[in-house]
Amino acid sequence: MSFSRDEIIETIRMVQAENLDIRTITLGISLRDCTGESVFEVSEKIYRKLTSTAGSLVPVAKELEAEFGIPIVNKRISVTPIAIVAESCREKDLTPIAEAMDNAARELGIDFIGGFSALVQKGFTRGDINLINSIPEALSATERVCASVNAASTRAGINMDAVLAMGHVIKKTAELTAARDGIGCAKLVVFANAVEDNPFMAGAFHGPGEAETTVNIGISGPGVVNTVIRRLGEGADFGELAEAVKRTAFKITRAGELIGREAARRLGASFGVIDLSLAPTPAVGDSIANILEAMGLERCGAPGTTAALMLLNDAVKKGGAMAASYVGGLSGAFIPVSEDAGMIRAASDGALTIEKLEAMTCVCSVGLDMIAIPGDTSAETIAGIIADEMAIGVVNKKTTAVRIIPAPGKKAGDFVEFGGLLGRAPVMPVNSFDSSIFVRRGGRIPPPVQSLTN
Amino acid sequence: MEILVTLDTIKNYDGSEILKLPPGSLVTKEARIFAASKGIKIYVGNELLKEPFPANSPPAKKAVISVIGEDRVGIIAGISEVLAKNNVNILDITQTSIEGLFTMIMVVDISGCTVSFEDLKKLLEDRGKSLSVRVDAQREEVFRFMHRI
Repeated sequence: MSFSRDEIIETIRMVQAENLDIRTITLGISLRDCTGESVFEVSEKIYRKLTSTAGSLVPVAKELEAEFGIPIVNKRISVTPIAIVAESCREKDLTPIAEAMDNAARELGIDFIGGFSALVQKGFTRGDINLINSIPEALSATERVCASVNAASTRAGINMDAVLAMGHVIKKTAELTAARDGIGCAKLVVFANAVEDNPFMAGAFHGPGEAETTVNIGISGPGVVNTVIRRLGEGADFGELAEAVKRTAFKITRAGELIGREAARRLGASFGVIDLSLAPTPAVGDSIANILEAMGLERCGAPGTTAALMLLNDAVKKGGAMAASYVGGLSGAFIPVSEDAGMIRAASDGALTIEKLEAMTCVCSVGLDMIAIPGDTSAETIAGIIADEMAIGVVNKKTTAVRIIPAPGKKAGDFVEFGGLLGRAPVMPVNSFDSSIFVRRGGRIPPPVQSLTN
Repeated sequence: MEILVTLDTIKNYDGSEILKLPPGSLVTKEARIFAASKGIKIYVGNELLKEPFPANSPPAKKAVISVIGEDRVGIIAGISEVLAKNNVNILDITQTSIEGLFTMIMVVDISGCTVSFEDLKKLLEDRGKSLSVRVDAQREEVFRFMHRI
């Protein structure tokens, strides 16, 4: 036999007991040929293009799942930032486009479609403004559409007008979806250094430099890494921990590489990237926080957490980079609070605060993710939180993001429930001192000296 | 004249099985693989472009079948019967039974299989249920990718 019995058993155990899966196959589709002068014409073109291009995505994913015996959890689509596609529409409200995307996604059996997006790190065009103004309405009127706004980059600095606007957009979106704890905000990301080939929601869009159609793969497997670390025991030193994570990451990523190549071939699309991210789910054992705890922290958030996360994130990249032919996307461990059972426990026990999470984002992707905050938090305070996170991304030349939910009517200690992959989250307290004069100054924080690399 | 012919160009081409391009055209590898999978032959000038390797990765030949459950009489017989009926050849088989937990792993050749892989899987699962064991079938590539560099 070309494989040992133990190798075969190991793979089977990873899938059946440790939640190894392909987190997402995301088909990036260019919509640059869907422009028009009326928003309805554009919507119609988008609907037609999506349904005709992505018709085989779900059937192909199911086929691969059956043949290779590795579950593919999500099938998703990312599209060209809609602000670009809808630039020449005379109408200001772009909600009909979001509805067309939503309808296409429902018809195709896809759980999320990303790309209701604008790239405004340096300034706004008419399309950008119209898109940002349409976000609250679009997210409350649709189920599956995800929006993102890139408000900063290492090269451009931080567009503080956009940051303040997004504070208000987030508040408004939460109000419009108040009946469901502000779930609209769970589909809205503010980025610094957004990447063009990210397969993960809610921040996926199909960047302007991408091919006509591209398959990007997001892998997973916190449960597998967790088991490996627990098995090493308390005696293993950091070199041994890193080595074990690297080996595991290699195997997980190879599964993604195989599925990605095969998916691209069957869909007739270019193979884009493997995103080397450990992405948790609310399922028990499928948690990043539990990995950090397995390294010897009583709770995620205890002193040492940032160092543990750095080790994990780096080892995953080292193992994964060798396993994949093209690496891209966000590529780092995710720490979404509501989607990770261990994070939820740490936050409700008071071990994990927003400030600690902010520190953790310095060493991993992607940012302050799926954090519920009190409903009475002001738009200016939210803008301040966003600005801080953008600063971390801009200075460290990395992607950072904010996906935060000011849960209407909730206060610190309450719980919000989103259900499904989005999970549930304890409402975390926010520093109550005021930053409104600062965030209202407007203009752009200049790019740091790190941007002068030429 | 098209200088560069990409995957998208071929996708939008709905002519016959022969695509003639002017001499000097550059055709990306991705485009050539896609054309080969659709059975389109590409001529640049008068020269036929060679199919890139692997043009069509050969259809799955081997699969790994694993059986886990409580040991009892007739598990191997039951599973092999399903395989034999569908013209699947067993290449290798290993089994252990430790403290009543039975594990069996088979490597099989499915190139001559008379039903689709999905159907075979379902038949095996059903048989597994009647034997109260868990049966899984996966294409061999998964193990090759995960455990070999």
